[in-house]
Amino acid sequence: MIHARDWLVLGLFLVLLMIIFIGMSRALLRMLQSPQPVGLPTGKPLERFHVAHAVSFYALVVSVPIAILRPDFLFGPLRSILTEFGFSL
Amino acid sequence: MMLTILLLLGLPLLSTVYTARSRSLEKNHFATLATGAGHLGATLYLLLTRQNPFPTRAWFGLDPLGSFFLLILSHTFFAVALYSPGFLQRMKKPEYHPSRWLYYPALNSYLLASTLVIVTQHFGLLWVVIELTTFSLVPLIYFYRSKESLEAVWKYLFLVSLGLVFLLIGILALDLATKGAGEHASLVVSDLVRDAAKLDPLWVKTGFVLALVGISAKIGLAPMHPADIDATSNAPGPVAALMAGSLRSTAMLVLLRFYEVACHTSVRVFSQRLLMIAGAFSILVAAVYIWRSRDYKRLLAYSSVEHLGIITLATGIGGVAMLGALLHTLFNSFGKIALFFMAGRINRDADASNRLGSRFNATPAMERVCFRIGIFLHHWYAPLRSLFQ
Repeated sequence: MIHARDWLVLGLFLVLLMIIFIGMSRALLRMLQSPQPVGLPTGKPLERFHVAHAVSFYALVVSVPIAILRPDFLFGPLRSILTEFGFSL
Repeated sequence: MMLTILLLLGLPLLSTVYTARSRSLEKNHFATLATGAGHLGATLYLLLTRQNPFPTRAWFGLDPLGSFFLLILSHTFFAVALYSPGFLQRMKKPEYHPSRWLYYPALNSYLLASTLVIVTQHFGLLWVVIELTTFSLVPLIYFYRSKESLEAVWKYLFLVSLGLVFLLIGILALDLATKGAGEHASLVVSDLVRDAAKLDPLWVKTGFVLALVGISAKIGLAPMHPADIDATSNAPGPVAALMAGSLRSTAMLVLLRFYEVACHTSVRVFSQRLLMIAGAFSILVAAVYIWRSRDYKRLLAYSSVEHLGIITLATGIGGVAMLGALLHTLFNSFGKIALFFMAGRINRDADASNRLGSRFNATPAMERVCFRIGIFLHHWYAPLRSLFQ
């Protein structure tokens, strides 16, 4: 059962997350809207596939199946860690 | 089992020596990549078989906590090793020449030092090897050899070393706590957990407070975060990914070792409250600075403060929240690798300048999309996913 005080803490936590998310979004929007500085090349560089794309996509995508499927090779040690710390699930 | 120890510790040592002596960047790259692959292979094998390759009750050992953090380190290092040749190819200015030659030896020595931090079970030895990780990072943070990176590296060295002094006093306090535990007492984690009931609570409490203050500089928790922010924002993309993806997690492991001991004593509730306060304060500080920051690498560095704050807060709550904290440590590592690699790609023409402006418009669409999706997933979806896990 969740008490009113817990909801208050959760609400504060979500507000802080919201501030951080909006802060990051503001910075991204500013990047998009700032004018082109003088002396910089205007043409877009050739778009080529780079290992950074693969690593980035992989890093972002792999976390979703881990969270959904909860593979035992990962969650087994995690449960053992909690037991070592004296917590039970 | 001997083979896994060799892959975890011997291979990085061999690779450090080889890359320091070799005069070919290409050979250094292959040696580093092979080391990363061998390290990752050994880590996955140990995680799947749940084995400890070290003798029991020794100063070195691999428990489930160590296996999990070894996966984070191994995975991050391998990704950085894959990314590095493209980065070094772009850094062709004459002033970067010495840094290019120091890059691979420093990277390999970082892997060795971090692996030692994870497998070391003795608190005294742990202090020595965590200092090694700081020194191995110095040439990597100072890669651009600019005034800003020199300032960042000195600030990092000074503040982290100051923090490690606190950590050392914390370890001494822990040693004083063992005085009543008999002649078989030691500073090995499993021995301290076994003798937890006999430990002096006052000294355990003192040790935990000092350890939290000391290691905060390395984890990047507020108010000890400034050195880490400067170092991450002035370091090149792959080094920043390494710091945000694995260094902070490894430092978190050191704090968790103290927490593990505290959890078995009467100071459990005290240590939980302290972690919750430290975590909540870090999230608050990150929220304020992210709102004010104009430099995108600093923005990502403050995001690390926020995420480590979430992890510390959830660790303090304990139970299922701690499961979420551990998961979030892994997801934070994945997310930071992606974002810092993308940040490095966006900034590839600017070298050391982090102010984007229209440079972002001149960046290929795929990288812009990756960066935006990454920011969204990492800053909204990931914390909530871990929270409701």
